[in-house]
Amino acid sequence: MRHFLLLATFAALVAIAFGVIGRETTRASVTYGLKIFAEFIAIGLALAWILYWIPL
Amino acid sequence: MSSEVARSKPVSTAWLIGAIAWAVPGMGHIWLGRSTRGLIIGGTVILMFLWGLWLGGHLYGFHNTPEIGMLAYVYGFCNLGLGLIYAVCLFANVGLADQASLPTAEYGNIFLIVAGLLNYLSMLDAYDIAAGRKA
Repeated sequence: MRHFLLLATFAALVAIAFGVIGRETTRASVTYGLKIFAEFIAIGLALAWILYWIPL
Repeated sequence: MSSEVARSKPVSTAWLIGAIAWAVPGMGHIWLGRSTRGLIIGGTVILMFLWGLWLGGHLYGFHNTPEIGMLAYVYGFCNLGLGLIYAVCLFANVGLADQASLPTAEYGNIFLIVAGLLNYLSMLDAYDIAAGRKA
């Protein structure tokens, strides 16, 4: 659970920065930031699920 | 002459603003009168840096380390993006010790690396705005 919280924290901070830098208007920044955040979480979970089955 | 070109600042000023944005996270945007944007970016970078230290991460210098070899130069360059924060940490000997025994140390390293990279991105954004390339 702690790993997921760290992933979510990381995703949130990066999404805020990307949202503010990447778009001009407030609405567009928020939408873009939320999209980046969701992508981070989704890809992180997908990679974790894939790596779970790979013996490393 | 387009309004975009007319709004742009001289190249030397744009470079200066880029340097300020690198040195102090968010300050480039504040200098350009975009205080909200500057405060959000600066706050995010500083929060990420502090979180990284709290997790047990450490800053890399420009020298080889036994664990990762030449890759330390790349990490050092990423950390250098923190600007004056990086310099202060070097002089004050803060956040330089490797705390690999902590379970979250690797997370901390990533937070510190990405904080520097985000500040580089902020620096380029401030430069682009100052040079008139971006509204």
